[in-house]
Amino acid sequence: MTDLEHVSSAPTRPQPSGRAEARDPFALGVDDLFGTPVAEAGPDDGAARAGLPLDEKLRQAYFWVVNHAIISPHYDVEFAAPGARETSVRLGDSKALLSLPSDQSYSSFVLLPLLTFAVRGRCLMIGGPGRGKTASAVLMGVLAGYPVRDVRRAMQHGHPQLTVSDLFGTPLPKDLVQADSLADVDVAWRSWLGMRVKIVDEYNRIPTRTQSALLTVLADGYVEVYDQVYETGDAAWYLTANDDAGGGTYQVVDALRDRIDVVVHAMPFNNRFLGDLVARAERRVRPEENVPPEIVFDAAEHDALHAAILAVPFPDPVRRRLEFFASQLEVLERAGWQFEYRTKDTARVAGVDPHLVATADTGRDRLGDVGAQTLNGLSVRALQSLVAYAKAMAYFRGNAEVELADLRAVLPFVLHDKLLPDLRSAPFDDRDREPLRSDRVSWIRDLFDTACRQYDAAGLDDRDDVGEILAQVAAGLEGLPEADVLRRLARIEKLLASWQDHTKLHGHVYEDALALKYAHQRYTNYLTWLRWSGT
Amino acid sequence: MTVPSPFAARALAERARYDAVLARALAHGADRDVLADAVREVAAATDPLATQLEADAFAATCDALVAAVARLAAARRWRAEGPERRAVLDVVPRLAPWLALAPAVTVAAVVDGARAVGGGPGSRGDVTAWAARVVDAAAVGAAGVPGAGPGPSPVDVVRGAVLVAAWRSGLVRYRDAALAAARSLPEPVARAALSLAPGGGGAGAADLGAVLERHAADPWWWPGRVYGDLPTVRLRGVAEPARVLGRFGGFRGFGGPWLSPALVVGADARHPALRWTLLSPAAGGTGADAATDEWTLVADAHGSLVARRPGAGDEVPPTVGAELPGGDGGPAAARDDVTDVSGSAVVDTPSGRVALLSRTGSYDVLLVRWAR
Repeated sequence: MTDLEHVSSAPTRPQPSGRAEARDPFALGVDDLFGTPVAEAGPDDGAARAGLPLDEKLRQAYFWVVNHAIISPHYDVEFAAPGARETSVRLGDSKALLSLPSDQSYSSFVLLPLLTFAVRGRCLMIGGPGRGKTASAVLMGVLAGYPVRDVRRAMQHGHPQLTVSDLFGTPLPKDLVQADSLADVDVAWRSWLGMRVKIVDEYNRIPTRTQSALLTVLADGYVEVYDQVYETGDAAWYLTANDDAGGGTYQVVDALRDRIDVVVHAMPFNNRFLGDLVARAERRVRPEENVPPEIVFDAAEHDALHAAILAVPFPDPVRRRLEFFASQLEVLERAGWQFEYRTKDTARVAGVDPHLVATADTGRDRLGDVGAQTLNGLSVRALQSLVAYAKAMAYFRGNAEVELADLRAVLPFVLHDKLLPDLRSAPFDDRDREPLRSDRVSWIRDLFDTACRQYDAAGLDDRDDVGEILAQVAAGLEGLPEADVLRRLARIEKLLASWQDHTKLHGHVYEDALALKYAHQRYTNYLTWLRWSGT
Repeated sequence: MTVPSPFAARALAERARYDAVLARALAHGADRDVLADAVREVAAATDPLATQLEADAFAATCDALVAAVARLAAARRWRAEGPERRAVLDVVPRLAPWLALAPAVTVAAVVDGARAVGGGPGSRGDVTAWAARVVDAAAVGAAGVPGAGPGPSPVDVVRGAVLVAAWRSGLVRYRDAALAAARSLPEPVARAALSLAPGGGGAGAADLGAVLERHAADPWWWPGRVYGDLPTVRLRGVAEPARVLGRFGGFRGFGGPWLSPALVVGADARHPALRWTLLSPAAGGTGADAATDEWTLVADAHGSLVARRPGAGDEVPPTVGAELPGGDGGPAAARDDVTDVSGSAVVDTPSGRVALLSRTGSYDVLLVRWAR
């Protein structure tokens, strides 16, 4: 075992020298030479003195957790270096593919909780008992600068008798007797509510009523007890559950599940690393009690980290692919009569099985249609989570803007519980694809890859008429002469007419058509006003 | 009753703290016997400082040394011939003037510096020369460290001097930072760290600022430096013999970087006479279609580094003069001494024209200079 206090040297992810943000690898400085922090040199010595950017610090935190805290990490979040040769082998009768990534790759079980810490999101860790879910959550609390003891005390353990008062605090008995109104009742709030990292262990054992109360804190950041409101502020949430498929003592409230941004699996222990486990026990080493101060984020750094992630640009080409993918999922041509209602949501709200409706549609390629494999589309919340985590991944990897690989990496974990597979659909009947019935991460990644291939095949990067039309609308109609309005209306009608005979109602066509209708309405209303005003 | 040594007295006074530090090192993987021996060695090396330092400074030095030893032992870096061990036992006890001012910073800086010079990430330097320069810089004494008021703090002086000495002893990657540090250090300290003799005439007596200025522009010039002991070669189109300034690279089997002879393709225009670009077949590649790796040679009068250019292929640095004056760039049978030049790059410097030559028959590349 190596020195627990050792933090990986910067840069943990050297950038190619051609990139603007890359450090010159042949010109090192004072801070590269003097890595040992010394209190005598001042309170800012160490990482802060070195002026390490927060993304570097975040990576150092990741590598510290991987190298010292979590034994036998699995590098399942794979990245490929541009132009690099990929090495892979196929093992066993099933020819299981094992890839050796050419770029720095990561363990989802460590990385996703860390990104959750950075964006102050909500992370659900699932997996059998004893796989390090709680330990990982505690580490995140320590990274936020809290003493281990405080983090453990603040952890909420789900159990069938957990009440709202147990969770949030109790009104003071003296006030209950003496108060003339609810406003006079002071509540002794539980200290964990104000922490920047909140941990709820085994959340699926919490009674339904308490879950609903938890939902308010989780979603809206405040608690209300006896007319007293406590604002909890931004925080990273970690929830754990042994079973994500409806097990546990209580069914998890749907709204609560929907608030969770990412779901990660605690991977099984690789028994080849048993030696490390033995050594750790013999030396009585507890990683969470030895987190180096260099990788701890104080409140100001935590705020700055979140702000820096929000500032990472989400470029149009990546956004377009996400739009294309998401648009494939919602449309269900025969679920409604009116154009706007031809969605899976219409069928679900009416209590009709979207699968049966999809089966009735005989005109589409069920194997190639991404939307045919799901029972629902994406919510706005899911898209917001996707954007936030894709930005966090790009920031973590030191990218100046979100790349497609960043989005692809986080997508399966964000959509894990948000996208319901239609297991009766034709693609799952394929013998080779049967494992995707249980491997949801791979299934979602495959969906996205398929959508990206279709996007490329359609050449949508090269030509985007609808995008141009929407950009014209977004630029504003103020002062637009009637002739231009008429020209633009004609362009919209012509484009829609061109789709009439030659295009199937794929998801992106459906959404583009609705977008064109929106643009048409804007121009129509403007034209009416223009003629009325006599301009 | 025997009187405990000064170090032992400090250890007894701080028994609980020292026990905790050592227990932590053991928990983190230090070998018990190695750690015990290390503390005993440090005690013997530190005791003489008790007569040179005030009580507080001596106590802080002991504390810093125990912390350093614990870190090194836990990281398995306390080894018989290890540079850090040598620094702790041989160098730190000779730095009393610095220890009096900033004991913890001095110990940490010297240990970090020793690791870098003695084979840390990147190029390796001359540890013995570095240690001598650090000791010389410290020997300037308190006179070299400004008190309160303007000027660098004791922390900056110690770190700056260790850095300058590291560059001067071979760590070329720290060149820019070291030149900047040398300019900001008190002159006696900078001169000591650079081994530039003050006063008394000779090249070293020149104005320090002017020396640093000229060297920054001409990486192969240094006061008093003559390359007379190195051979000369004759190049076609060059009237006088060219002096060999250095040989770099080499076959990987003998500790060099390359599996096949490298090809010089240019000099980095942003760092003239300092950085050079070379190509060498990638590992496993053979034949005409084999992939090549791009390498960078960084070399000045004090040290050199040959390393792959990270992310090579994204952007090629601007290069200058890739040809010898009389050559055509191909195999040069007509050249007198060096008959198998495969590639070359030429750069003008104030001291003359500098060229890097790669050859088909050698894994080394030659850096030569001749008068313009």
